[in-house]
Formats: sequence, structure tokens, C-alpha cells
Amino acid sequence: MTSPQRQQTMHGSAQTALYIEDLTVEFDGFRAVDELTLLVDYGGIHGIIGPNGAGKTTVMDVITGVTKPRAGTVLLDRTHDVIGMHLSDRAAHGIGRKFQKPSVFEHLTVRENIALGVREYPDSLLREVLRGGGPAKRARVDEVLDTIALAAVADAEAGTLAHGQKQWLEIGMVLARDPRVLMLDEPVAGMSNTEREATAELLQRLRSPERAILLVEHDMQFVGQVSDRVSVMHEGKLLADGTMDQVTSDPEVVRVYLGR
Amino acid sequence: MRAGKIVLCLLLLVLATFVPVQAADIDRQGLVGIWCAGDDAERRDSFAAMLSQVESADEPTRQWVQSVLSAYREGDLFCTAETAFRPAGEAYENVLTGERVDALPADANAPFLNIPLRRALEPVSRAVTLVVSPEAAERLGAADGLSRSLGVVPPALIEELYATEPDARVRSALEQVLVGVWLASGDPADQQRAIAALAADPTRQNLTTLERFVDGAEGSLSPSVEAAADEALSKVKLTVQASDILTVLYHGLSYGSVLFLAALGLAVIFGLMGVINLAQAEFVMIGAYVTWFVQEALKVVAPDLLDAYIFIAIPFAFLGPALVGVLMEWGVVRHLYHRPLLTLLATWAVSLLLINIVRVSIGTQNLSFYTPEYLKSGFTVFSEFAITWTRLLSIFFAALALVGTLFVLYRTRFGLRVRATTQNRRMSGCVGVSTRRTDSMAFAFGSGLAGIAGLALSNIYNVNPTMGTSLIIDSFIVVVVGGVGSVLGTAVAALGIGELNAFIEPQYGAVASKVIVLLAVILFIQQKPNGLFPPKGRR
Amino acid sequence: MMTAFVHSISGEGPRDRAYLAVVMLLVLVVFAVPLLGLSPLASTPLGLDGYQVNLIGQVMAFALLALSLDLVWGYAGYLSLGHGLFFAIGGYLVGMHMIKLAYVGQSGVPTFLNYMGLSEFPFYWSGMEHFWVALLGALLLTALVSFVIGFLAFRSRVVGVYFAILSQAFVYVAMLIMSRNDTGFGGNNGITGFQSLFGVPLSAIESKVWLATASALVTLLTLILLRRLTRGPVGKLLVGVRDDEDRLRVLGYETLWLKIAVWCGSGLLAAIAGMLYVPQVQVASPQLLSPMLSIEIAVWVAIGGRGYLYGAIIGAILVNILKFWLTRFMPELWPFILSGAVLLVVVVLRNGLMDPGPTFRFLFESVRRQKVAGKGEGA
Repeated sequence: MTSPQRQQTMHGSAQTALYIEDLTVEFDGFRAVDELTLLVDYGGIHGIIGPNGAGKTTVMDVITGVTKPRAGTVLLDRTHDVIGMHLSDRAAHGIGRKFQKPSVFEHLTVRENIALGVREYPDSLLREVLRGGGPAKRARVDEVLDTIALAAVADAEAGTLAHGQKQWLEIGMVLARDPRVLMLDEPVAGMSNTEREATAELLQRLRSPERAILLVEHDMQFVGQVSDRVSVMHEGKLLADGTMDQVTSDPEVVRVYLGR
Repeated sequence: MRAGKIVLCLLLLVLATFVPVQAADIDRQGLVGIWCAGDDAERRDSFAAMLSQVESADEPTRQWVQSVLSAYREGDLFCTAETAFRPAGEAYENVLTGERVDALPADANAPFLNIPLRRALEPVSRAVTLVVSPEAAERLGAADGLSRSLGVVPPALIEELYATEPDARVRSALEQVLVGVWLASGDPADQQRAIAALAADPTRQNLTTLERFVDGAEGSLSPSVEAAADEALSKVKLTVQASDILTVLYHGLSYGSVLFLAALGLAVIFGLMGVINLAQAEFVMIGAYVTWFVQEALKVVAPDLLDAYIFIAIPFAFLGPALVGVLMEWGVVRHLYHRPLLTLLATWAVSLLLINIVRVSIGTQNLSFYTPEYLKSGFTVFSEFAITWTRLLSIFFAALALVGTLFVLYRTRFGLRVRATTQNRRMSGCVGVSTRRTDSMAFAFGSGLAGIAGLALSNIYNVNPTMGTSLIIDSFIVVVVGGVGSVLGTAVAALGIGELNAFIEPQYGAVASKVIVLLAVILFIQQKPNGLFPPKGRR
Repeated sequence: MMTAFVHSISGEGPRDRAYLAVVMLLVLVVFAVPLLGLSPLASTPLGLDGYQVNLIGQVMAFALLALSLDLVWGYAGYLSLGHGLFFAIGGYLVGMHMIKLAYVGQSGVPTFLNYMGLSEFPFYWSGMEHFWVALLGALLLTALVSFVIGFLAFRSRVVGVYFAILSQAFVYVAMLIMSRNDTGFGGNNGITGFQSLFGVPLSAIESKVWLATASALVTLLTLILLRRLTRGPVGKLLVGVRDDEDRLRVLGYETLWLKIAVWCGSGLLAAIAGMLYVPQVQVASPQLLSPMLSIEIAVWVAIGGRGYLYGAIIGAILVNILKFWLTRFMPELWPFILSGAVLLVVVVLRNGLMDPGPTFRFLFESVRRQKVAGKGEGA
């Protein structure tokens, strides 16, 4: 890949992975996301924080395709209209997501879980089922197992894993396809301190100039620790945007977080 | 009938002994002779002649004519060479002498009446009944029949009877007869009278009469008559169509009410626990059986209250199934939360069990319900649109259940707990709602509602152990279309499907209506997967 | 948790022994039926008479039917309460074949067509005298019907009990349609009066033996085939659909086509079961479409244990042998036994006879009054 160049265009710079403009999501008249505009760049970790109900998860739902927005634009690489894409095409375009609730297939082994994330024939499910499972796939699975440090339990059933391991496994499933946009919804919720440290290290390992990592997390300390850039959402709107230090000194943010 | 005949005969016998026979007006012997042995033309002429005489005849003669005529018509007049006999109880009576014999003479046989003769005799016999019978109901039957064919009966006679008839219903029936006569008379004044009479009573039958008249006349009418006829025709047609539409709507409303009653409990339970209770239809059946038990108990304990059994049974029909529901929830359903498909099978097993318990202990025959006088009939609102009380009662019960359920859900603490648990089970548990108890009570409530459905159905449907099987799929479809756990959605969906059914079924039959409703529902689900009134909130 | 379940899909151990035992049982049936039914052994005390052979054959056809349901319920997590629809398509078409065969070279039509005022077979009966036409027709029709139902249901994401009842509604409506005399398939009485199949008179013991053997053989081959399928990539994907379909979709799998394919495959197996069943009972009637039968299929699978394939076979064999025996000697008792068995298995055993694990957990939990918050019911 060529290194990204700073070149300002209509929909962000060449570094822009996700371009979100005027995004609005409504549930029965309730505006979960309200004309949100946000740019997510390649090469970094972009944290989104905000109080409960700020619309953070909903933004991820829209990008993943689980929720349909009322209005707005989401572009991948400034060209691909994500909202118009079929749900399974989004994964093919490199959008991956770890859900808030750890969603691994408990009746499959760790290895099988990750193998589900690898696609040798992204265009044809039939070919994947008939011919998939070759050495290339196994190699990729082993690679991911190393990255998420679960090689030791590769043949255990996912249901028997500890909570933190399940979170990593789900990241691994998403990672298996080498996503360009990796969305992580509360990856350290319910983790011990050691596990949180391990997750922070894992995120550093996942950094890549060709990957944008979008992180939604309640743990402010964790977000501050790993993120290059932080956006604060409140009642569906973007409140502040910048480094952790910048946003935490923003009076509006302080007002929202400390009560009015 | 037979008793009536005997009484009549005895009466005749008594009369015959006291009143001297007056043969001045009607030649009884001649008449019997012609009826027994005359050729077709003679017989036909004799009918008309007899009719013209009977009106002025005295009472015994009239009675004689009617009785002999009816025997003749029924093939019960046995002719011999000189006279004829008709059955009188076990014996036979000589119609000329009044003398009785135990057995018929060997040469007695009933003369054969061919179809043209029967056709000729029919209106005459009706006219005689109109003249002679003291019973308004009998006269009404005769008058109704006459409107189909007047035969040789002179219109003047009908007009005379019409003028003197005391009973209003018979009068209007006679008017119908006359309308035909007037229309056919060719006299514009009479035709105008007929058209006015037809327009005043816009029934389907009158519509047909008017249409035939207008179509058959083909320009032979006077302009004023034609204008009046056209105006009356369009007015009657409009009224009949309006009443047809209202009738279909009303039938749809009543079927929708039944669906709503059956589906409401299902919707409450499904909304709260995600459990489809396949035994719900059997709770309907139990409700109907409890109603029957209440009726039978009242017959023994307090026969005076029997008329009110439907209302006395309300609490029992609710509590009986509710109790079974609690037991079922406790014994089966609560072990299976989060396992909706196995719950489905378990509730099916319960329904099979309930059906067979009732089948073995009570039997498979339809239960007979006593219909109180006040429910038996109904009233005609206008034209063809009639309201029957039993249908109205089911609508009443549906409305009662709707209001009651909304009240319980939105105005009581129990309802608050149900709504809270429906929206967020875990959160409700956290804030101190006993979700276990709420589930149990809601299950009882839903089952009780099904029992009320059974009560409301007891006078409309056949009540037997398997009565519920056809209800469950329809009720589930109502729940799906209405949106999970929405009471109003269930009501709207039930009415919609009820109306759809009422519009399709008369034209295409029951099977087609089921097919079309199912297809409509599937197309509907394509558009709105969460029903008419989807549950609110984020998902 | 639910280790037994996992083993059924991936592990080694007791699950494999149970599978092998069921395979052996089916192999035994395939060889024993012709041996004890036809050879000189038939007249010994070990021999099977026509009734027994017929019974074995019907049970084997039901086992295949149960197998077809376990594929969609046990693996993909979609409970169909309308599999009788596909069973009936197969049954009616093979019935039409046998009727047409009986009228080859004769003029005239069966009474139920006479009744409709027809003096010759309508167009859709043409070619039915050839077995392959009937077979192809049954498979194509099943594929078409199951595709339409599957497409409509899966596209609008109808799941769980919705899917179950909707499938039941389909079979119910189909029963109403086929119960009408003017549909042209004999109404309530169905089509009957078959004489022979492949030139063998149905009344002969030979036909009973070969039908029973064929039923057992097809069931055996299907078991082996589905076992391979479910232990491979397709099985993993199906478990994914069952346990967390959204996760799978966000991973980039178009689950719609996967589900439709499995659903249609399951329908085709059910249709084949119907084609094996109808010649053995010698009637194809709306009974095949009764909601009761469709629910009973699910009951066999639930009692045997879903998600193992061989569990469905064991369930179908046990329940149906019990049913044949009880309805012969104590017909009044059967509904009570059936509903009792369902409640027992569903409430106490939870996942059928083939999976005693959860039973002990359940008893254990009752004593300790612990709450289970387990997902992955497989349903």
C-alpha cells in the first residue's frame, strides 16, 4: 500500500477511512443520533465516549448495517456508500465489529470461531463451504491465535473461556479478515486490571497505517490510554473532538459529565 | 298437527249433530264427486267455483271445505263410488255423512293428483286458509305462499281480505301478494300503488320484483309509472346494497370479536414471556365447559336464575381456566423460559392432555346450551340488515374484555408490573418487581381471558373437546399482525382479519378465505415484520 | 456448559459410539428385513410377517422424516411445524404414480375424478405412469414450495415461534385445500386403490419387504450424509445461524441463502420420506397434512434429542413403535402417554433421551435452587 497522503478533498483527506455526515437515526420519534458528522482516519485509534444513551453504539449499528438510519451519509474511503451496501458486503469491504455483549459461538472451538472469520472465497459461500479450509486458512487462523494470545486454548470450546478471553476471541474473529475499519464496542467492560492491560497491548499491536480503529468505551482511563483522538457524543450530537486532554478540558464536556 | 286434526274432527262431529246441514251454497256431494272422478279440467274449474262460494258460506261449511281440501291435497281423501273418507284419528270419517268407520271400504282409493293439478290446487288451498283460519300464523304462511303464485284466486278476493285483515304482518304479506297483482294489472294507478308499496319496504325480494317489472315491461309503461319505477328501483337498490355492506361488516365485527377474545390472552402472555401457549385454545374450551357446568348447576339449584346463567358464569369462566393456567405455568412453563420452541411443544402436550381429559371424563358430543328467550331473536335495523342478539353478545364480551384488559394493564399495580416486565425483564427484576409472580399472575390472567372467550362462544359455536383446534392458528396470526403484546394492535388485527374473512367467505368459501387471509398476512409480514403496533424502544 | 451439545458437533467420545450404534442398527435392519421376511427363515419363529415388515418400513420412513426436521431445527435452529407439507407432496405424487399405473391401458378414471365430471386424467397427471416423472415432479414441486416459503420467511427475518406457527399455518391451509373434493385429489378420503409399484403387487410380501428395506437404506445413507455435512464447514455455519445469526451476518455471511438451501434440502428429504411412506400405508390423504402429524415429527426429534441426527432417528423409532403397540391394544391411553412423554422429556430431560447430561444438572439445580442463565438452547 502507498502511504496515505494528506490531500484535502470533498470528503475528507486521503487518510479518511470513514466519512460520516449528518447522520440521523430515529426510534419511534426518539432521536438516538442527531445530525452527526464525524471523520475517522486510518492509522490511529479513535475513541468515542459519552454518557449512556449518547448514541455511540447506534453509530456502530448503522455502520455495521444492523440499524437503518433516517438520513445522512456514511462513506468508506471517501467513495463507497456504506449505507446502501448489503450487510454481508460491508464485511467484504473491510468493516469489522466486535459487539458490546461478547458474541462468540460457544458451541464451537476457539479455532473454529476464528476460522469462521476467514474467507478464502469472499464472493461465493458455496465455494467457501466446498473448498475452504485449505492450508492458507489454517495459517491465517494460527496467525490470529498468536495475535490475540489464545493459541494455548485453541481447541477448547469457546463457551468454556473466561469473560476476557471471549472478548479477545471476538476481536480475533473480526481480525481474521484483516479489516480496514475495526470497530470495538466496550472491549474492556467487565475485565480485570491485568486483562485490561493485555487488551491495551493488543490494541497497540492492531494499529496499522491501513487500519482505522473505532473504539466505544465507558472506561475513560482506558480510552485516554490507547486513543490518538477522542470524540465526545451527547444526546446523539458531537460535543467535542480532539485529543483526550483537549476534550476533557472542554467546559461543555465537563458540564455534561459532571451534571448540570 | 295430528292432535289438531283430531280436535277439528271432534268439533266437526259435534257441529254436525247440532246444526242442520245446509247444502244451499256448496254442493258437497257434487264437489266430492268431481274431486274423486272428474277429469283435470273439471277439477280445476271446481277449485275456482268452490273458492267463490266459500267466502259467503257459513262457518261449518268453511270448516268442512278446509278439512276436506287439506285431506285431498295430502292424498288422504279416499274415494268410493258414492262418497269419500278422510282419516279421523284411528278411524275414518265419511265426508258427506259425518259417519265414522273403523276400516276403509275395499274399493276406497286416493285419487292421483298430477303436478299441474297440484299447482292449481296450492293457491286455492292457501286462499281457503286465509278465509277460514282463525290463526294469524297460519294465515301469514298462506299469504306468504300466495305471493309466489296466485293461480285462479281472484285478486278481488285478496283485496277484500287485505281490507278486513286485522293482523299487521298478514296485511303486509297480503300487500306483497297484491303488489304482484297490481303490477300485472296494467292499470297505471294500481301500478303506482304497487311501486309505492315496494319502495316503502326496501328488501331484496322487493328489489327483485321491481327489477323484473321494469325489465319485463319494455316500454309498455306509461311515462309516469316508468319514472316512478326507475326512481323506486334506484332507491331500493341503494338501500339493499347499503344493508348488505352493513351486514357483512357486522358479521366481520362479530367474527373479529371472537378472534379478539381468543387472541387477547395469547397476546398478553406472548408479549410478557415470549411464550406461545398452544393450550390457549383449550382454555377457551374449558371456559365454555365451565359455562355449561354453571348452567347445569343452576338448573338444579336455582332454576329461576337460569335465564341469567351467561352473566352468572362470567367469574367462573374466568377463574376456572385461570386456575388451570396457574398450574400449567407452575408445572411446565416456568421451567422453560428462554426456550421458546420447547415451550411450544410442551404447551402442545398440555393441550393434547386437556382435550383427552375432557374427552374421557365428559365425552366427545357437543354440549347443549340453553338459549334464554331474550337472546333468541334479533331485530331488523333496515332492509336486509338484521342484528341478532347472540352475535351482539359476543361483540359485547369482546368490548368488555378490551376495556377490562386495558384497565388492568394501565390502571392497576399488577398491570404496571406486567408492562414493566414486558419492556425490560432484567431491569424490572432489579427494581424489585417479582417477575416470577408477575409471570404467574399474567399467565392466569391470559388464561382467564380465554375462558371468557369460551363463554362468549358457547351460544355461537359447537362446544366439544376439540373446539379449540381451529382457533389457535387464527389467533396466533392475529397476534403476529397486531404486534407482540399490543392490546390495541390485537383488537385492530382481529377486526381486520374478521372483516377480511367476512368479505371473502360468502363469495369464495371458507377454505379460500383462509388461504387468502394467510397470503395477506405473509405479504403483510414482508412489509412490517414487527406487526401493526411494534413494541417501542431500542432494540 | 452444554458440553454434550458441543460433542455432537465436533467432539469424540460417547457421541460417536451412539452414532455408530444407530448406524449399526440401520445396517442390521437393511439386512435383517429381507433375510427374515423373504428367505426360508421367514417361516421359522424368527421370521417376520407382513404386518411386522410393514411396521418396520413405516417407522423407517418416519425416521427419515425426523432426520429431515432435525437438520433445520437441531442445527439451524428453525423449528418447522409444517414438515408434513413436504411429506405430503412426496406422498401424493407417488400415489398419483401408482394410480396412473393401475389405469395404464384402460380407459376410465378413478371415482374421485369421475366425481369431478372428468372422464380422462387432467394434464397434470400426464407421464405419471413413469416413476421418474413422479419422483422428479415431487422433488421439483417440493423445491419450489420450500423455496417460496423459505424465501418469504427468512427474507423478512421470521424466527423462533413465529416461524414455527407460520409453517404450521401453511400445512393447515394445505390440509383444508386438499380436503375439498373439488381439488381433484379425492378430498378427505385421499387417493387410494393402488395396486403395484415397480411391477410388484403391493399386497405381496415382496413389496412390503423391499419398501421397508429401501426406507431403512435411504435413512441410513441420509444419516451418514448429514453427519458428514454437519461436521464440516456447513455444520459450523448452521450452528452459527442457530446461536447468533447477527454475529455471523456481521462477519460477512449472507445467511439468507444458507438457510434457504438447508430448508429446501430438509424439505426434499421429507418429500422422499413421503414417497417411501405412502406405498406402505397405501393411501395418500389429507391426514399427511394434519397439523397433528407435523407437530408429532417435532415431538420425535425432541424426545430423541435434537442436534445429533441419530437422536431424531431413535426418537422416531421409539415413539412410533410405542404408538403402534398402544393404539392397537389401548387406543384411549395413547394421547395421555404421548403428552406425558413430551412433558417429561421437555421439562425434565431438556434435550431428549440421547443427552442425559442436562437431566442431572436439572435435578442438581432443583436441589440447589440455582438459576441458570444459559443461552444456546439450540432453539
